[in-house]
Amino acid sequence: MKQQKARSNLDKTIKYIMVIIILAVFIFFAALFIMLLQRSQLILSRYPVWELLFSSEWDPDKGLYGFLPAVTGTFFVTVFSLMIAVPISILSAVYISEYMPSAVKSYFQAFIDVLAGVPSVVFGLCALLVLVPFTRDVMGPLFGVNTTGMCVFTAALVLAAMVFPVIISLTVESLSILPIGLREQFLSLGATKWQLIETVLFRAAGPGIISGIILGFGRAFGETMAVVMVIGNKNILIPSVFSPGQTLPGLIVGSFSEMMSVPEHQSALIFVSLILFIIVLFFNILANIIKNKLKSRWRYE
Amino acid sequence: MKKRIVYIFLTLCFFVSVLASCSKTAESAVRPSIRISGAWALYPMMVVWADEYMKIHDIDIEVTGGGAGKGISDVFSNQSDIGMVSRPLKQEELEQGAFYVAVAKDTVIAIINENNPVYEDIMDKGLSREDLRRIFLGEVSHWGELFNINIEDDEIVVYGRADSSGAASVWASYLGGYTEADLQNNSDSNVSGDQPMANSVQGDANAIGFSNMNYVYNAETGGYIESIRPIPIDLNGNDVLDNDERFYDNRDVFLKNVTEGIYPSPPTREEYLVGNGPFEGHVKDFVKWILEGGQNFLEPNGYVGLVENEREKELEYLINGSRHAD
Amino acid sequence: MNKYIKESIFRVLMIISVFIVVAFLVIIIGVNIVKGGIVLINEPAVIFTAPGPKYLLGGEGGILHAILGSILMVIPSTCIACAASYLIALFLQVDYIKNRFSNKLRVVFDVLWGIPSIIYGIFILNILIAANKRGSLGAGIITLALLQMPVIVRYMDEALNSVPDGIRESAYSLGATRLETAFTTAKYALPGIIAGVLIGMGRAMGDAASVIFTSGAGNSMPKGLSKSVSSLPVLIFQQANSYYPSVREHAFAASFVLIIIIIALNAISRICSKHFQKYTAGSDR
Repeated sequence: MKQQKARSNLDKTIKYIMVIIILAVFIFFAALFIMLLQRSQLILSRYPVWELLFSSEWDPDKGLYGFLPAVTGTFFVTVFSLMIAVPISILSAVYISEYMPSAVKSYFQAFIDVLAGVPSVVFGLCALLVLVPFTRDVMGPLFGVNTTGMCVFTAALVLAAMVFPVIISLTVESLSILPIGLREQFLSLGATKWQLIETVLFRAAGPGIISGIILGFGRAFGETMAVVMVIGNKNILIPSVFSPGQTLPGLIVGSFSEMMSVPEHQSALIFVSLILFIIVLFFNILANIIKNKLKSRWRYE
Repeated sequence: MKKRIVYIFLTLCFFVSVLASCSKTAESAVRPSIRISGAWALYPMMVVWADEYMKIHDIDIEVTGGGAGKGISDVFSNQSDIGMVSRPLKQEELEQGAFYVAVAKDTVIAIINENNPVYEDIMDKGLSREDLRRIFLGEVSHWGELFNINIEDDEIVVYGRADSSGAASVWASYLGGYTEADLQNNSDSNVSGDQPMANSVQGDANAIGFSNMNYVYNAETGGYIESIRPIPIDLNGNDVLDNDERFYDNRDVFLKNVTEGIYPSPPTREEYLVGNGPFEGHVKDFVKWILEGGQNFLEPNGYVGLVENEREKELEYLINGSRHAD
Repeated sequence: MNKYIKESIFRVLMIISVFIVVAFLVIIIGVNIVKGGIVLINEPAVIFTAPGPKYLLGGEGGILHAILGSILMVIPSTCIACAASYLIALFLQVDYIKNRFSNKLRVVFDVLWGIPSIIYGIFILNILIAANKRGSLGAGIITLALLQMPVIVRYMDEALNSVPDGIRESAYSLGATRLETAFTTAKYALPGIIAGVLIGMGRAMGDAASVIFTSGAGNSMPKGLSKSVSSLPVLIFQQANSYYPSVREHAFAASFVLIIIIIALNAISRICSKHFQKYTAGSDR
């Protein structure tokens, strides 16, 4: 009896600790938001929000702060990279979990984890050495354009490589927990393996795959170093995939530490972070709603 | 189960005690100390200065990097005693009470690849400031246009700087009062850092860029680095490179012309140490030493020293604690 | 279209995808191993020596300070983040709160994941200034712990979510408390949890922006919790921009070491997970 009481007491204590930690995280989250809001007051009091968001002129030395090129650039690069990464990683995840012999599979998963753990600086260094010349000398002539290699296309490729492991590991995870009966029943009806995957597994594992894509979006959207090194950082509205562009994190990382002693410039860069924060928040809420809708539609039981 | 918890607890204890013991031993000594932070460009030199100064004085000097803006705001927020800055100070910073002393010089050169289609012409005739302005602002798109000749595959590829940097702002102001963003938004591509700039120009025969002179001349041998070549500036604009405008062959000759002021300023710039108000106490002694004995360490390490009269002026500013000569 | 033709088309597509993913991995690791390996074979002392005062100006010395700095910052921060994240991820499960609330909580972590690391750096720097403290090892540990926490939480959460209800239910039916059930489910979800911890650690290990603001990033050896330290990514950033070719070569040696550390940690955690998995219900899957 006494032992049981101790056990349930421990259980309760841990629960209180959990609540405290969650509250601490909430305070951190709120404090971060308040800090961003408060620090961007200066720029917001000097320029109207619409002018900041919808002007494409960026020249802090002349007092021109137009974030439109960076906002559209960030979206463009992220969406483009997900367009490359999502099909490739889902297909390879399916192959890993459904076709690969289990002996090879575990080594392969370890491989993917290594790729996931590679720091973004290293991605950037390799992209400069391999991908930039590749884009300049192979892809550029192939599409008949002159490019320096430092462009949106290269940045999207690097981001795609960084998103692969996120989507793959979550997709493999959610595919491998599906009950074996589900597969056997469907295969016994004379379906091919791909039909099984297409009609049953994708739906049953749908929510997990979608979380993978959301998390991949998060990683791509906030990525700084690797993108800054290869995108060319030009504040223009992107005319083609082979021209340089600019991203919101790029703006911050490029000049924050050089300019943080100039109040207006600092405030503008903090406002950039605030925009990022709000966009990520908005997108995540949206994705969550979609995920829950699909979850209730795609139940397999 | 219990055993495992004990193990985890023990390892945690171990970690905490190691870290705690580290911090204790480090804090036991009480000596005067100077904390320095700021521009990456001046950081390696400051490490050498700090080391040499600590050899002859009983003092602790801690040098960290972070960028010019971080240096200045650290000084304002009392996080450090000296900020290193590699760009001209902005009006807003001076209004907040920044005091600065120049300690070294640096210069920026336009660079091209040795396989440039009009390499011979450029080396022979040089480019005037107007030519360079037109190239960097995207008003000329082919190398041939500069010398009125017709050649194939000569589309100019202009590289700029992605990050805020002293080099870019100085080069932009040399071209005629432009801003860093003007260069950044009129280039074909931007890179962060001097070395990536040099790399890009090396890999592209039609490229043009600008960088610190140490990325053009080898600091040890004095010759050019790999395929990077400096663009001689046609200073008087007569479309010919006169004899007194030909000083780009090696580092020493070039350096002499920079210190004598024949190579224009900007793009020669000064690098500063910044304090929150005038320097005082042992911080002042250290800065004074940099302007006296410390100057000898600049050239062997690839930096450019101040000329005698400039140095004396800066020393006077330092001692008076004001940059107004009154 | 015949379903068998479709099957083979997709099979080919899948193999191509796997090939692309492997190619990326091989390029990234290969470039570093070749470039960095050459440097390390020529001068293996680089990783055992502290930098001299002229190290960044082509002088003698090595990168020991950054290796130690990275390890001293990343391992404690990962431990802290792991412990906190595990509790949070457990709390997000059905055992503790309703799904409606946990979904809203998850958004918080997704947002935190999407914020660039430099903002964490700025945030901690503001706190340091308010507390009149300087950047130090301790501040670096806290920053990196905060930085990797959302990543680890979300991965652990997804992994725990994928544990079949049967395991949880059978644990409860034996009279286990929620905490004891959690240990059982954790074993089942171990591969996912480890993947999360590794990705979080990779983020912390490779981050330069937040470390520059919070840990001082000096060139000295780590001396204590309240003293400044450097880390490998910061050093790579400094080295890669040097005009001395020998220093630039060292940047590849540093990133080689970084990758080796990550691979080693990966291998260790794989072995550990195998060891624990022996005793679980899901071990044969």
